[in-house]
Amino acid sequence: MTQYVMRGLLRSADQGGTAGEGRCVLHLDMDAYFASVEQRDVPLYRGRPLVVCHTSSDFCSHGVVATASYEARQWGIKAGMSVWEARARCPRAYFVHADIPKYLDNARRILRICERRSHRVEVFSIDEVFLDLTAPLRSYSPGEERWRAALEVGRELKEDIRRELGLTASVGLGPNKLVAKMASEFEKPDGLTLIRPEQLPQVLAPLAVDKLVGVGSRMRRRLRAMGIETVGELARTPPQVLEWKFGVMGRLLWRGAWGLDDSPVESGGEEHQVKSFGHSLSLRDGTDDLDFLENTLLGLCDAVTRRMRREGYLARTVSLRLRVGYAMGYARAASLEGYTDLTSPVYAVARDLLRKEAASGLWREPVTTVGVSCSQLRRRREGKQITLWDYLDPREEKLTAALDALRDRYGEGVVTRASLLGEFALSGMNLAR
Amino acid sequence: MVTLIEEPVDVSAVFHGGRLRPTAFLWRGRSYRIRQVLGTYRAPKGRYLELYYSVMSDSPEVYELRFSTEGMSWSLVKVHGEG
Repeated sequence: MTQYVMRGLLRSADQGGTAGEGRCVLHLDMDAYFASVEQRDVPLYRGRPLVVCHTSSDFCSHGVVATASYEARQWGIKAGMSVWEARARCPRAYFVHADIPKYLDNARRILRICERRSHRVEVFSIDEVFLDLTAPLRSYSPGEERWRAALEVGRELKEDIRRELGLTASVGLGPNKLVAKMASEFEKPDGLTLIRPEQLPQVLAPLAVDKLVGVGSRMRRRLRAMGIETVGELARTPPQVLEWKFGVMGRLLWRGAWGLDDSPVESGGEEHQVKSFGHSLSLRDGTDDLDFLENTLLGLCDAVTRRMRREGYLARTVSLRLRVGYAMGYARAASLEGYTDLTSPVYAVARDLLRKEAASGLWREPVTTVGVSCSQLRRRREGKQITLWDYLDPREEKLTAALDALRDRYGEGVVTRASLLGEFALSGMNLAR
Repeated sequence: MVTLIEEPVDVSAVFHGGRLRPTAFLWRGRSYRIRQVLGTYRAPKGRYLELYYSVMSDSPEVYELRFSTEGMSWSLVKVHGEG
């Protein structure tokens, strides 16, 4: 899960209220998910170091590690590492291609099993799910009896997944999503951990501060510079000081250190207000090659606008997200003249932003992540304003409709731009799938 | 080691209980009786559906078969084996 998502989780936590108060949340985290699926399907890989790669190479000779089995992790191999480095660390490991459709299908089955336990189930990522058990367990008296019942649900859920899918999961239980997620990390693989509200101070305080959801290596360094090494030290720091230092994020961190989170478990079936569409791509060794970055950006714009069209949205604002080196991440945004769901106007704005940033002299290290998102949305059914340019040249609109029809009929990969046939197209993400 | 194959194969299969299950396949003139189906998944491809089966015959290799509703065709996608 990305830090960006974690920040979102923390941000939604900042809505007042306290932890506990009768809520019971379960977080399910599949153990080394991609690798476990492959080990289940191929007995040869069981008990051996297995590396699942995002790669364009038939022989997995380059690319990045998507997931490493627990056996491979003993060799220091982890997600995000280059395949080249993973091979150097453990030459006798098995290397296989990530099979995203297979993992998605298994994820759907996991979701169906979870939905037997609660109507309120939130898919957090391909291998993580939150369940709100508050309503299903309301017949149990709050406190110890309810927590015991929650533990039983966690045990049964794990058993169902093991029996029906042959996979293991770690489950965390707590009074909110933040605590449940941290609990699931406590005992991996195949863990079941409950953190009761009254245990929060003694459980959280001794943890290293980067165990807190939302604290990455960069934030850890900044906190360390303030003499804050543990969650307890963070909790004892006056929130005003953290706010002065980190802005809004400072208060969110302080609340997180106390285990406070009121964010609801949001099931997919509920009506959500979509605020933006975005895609980003991590570049394994980073690059400052502007042509490559522009080409990557074009692919991302294609993927974003395809999703917008499929879901019937138009956008007016385009944001370019960049990470330079492994620390400095930032975004730049600009508005379009009108609402659109076509690639070329979105790409033109994103490319101009990229060129401006490249010329700014700020890039002292290679760019390691590039992303684009479209916001300020409106429904296409509300009407698309036809500009003079659209009127004069409707070719892109017609071409896009024809390409969409082809993809709807034969799948996303049936047609692509020639310029995207290289590394980017095969980097492991069929973005618009 | 994974070997990518992507070759059409002849497959014997049974439909039972609303499910499709391959029982044997013929690849490069050799017949393989399927002893175990280790895993299955389905993936939509445009308006068609593809069903994937990881199967074992008498050897330790695992064969991945694909049934596509487009043309009702079977393919051997890849083979996982020692090497």
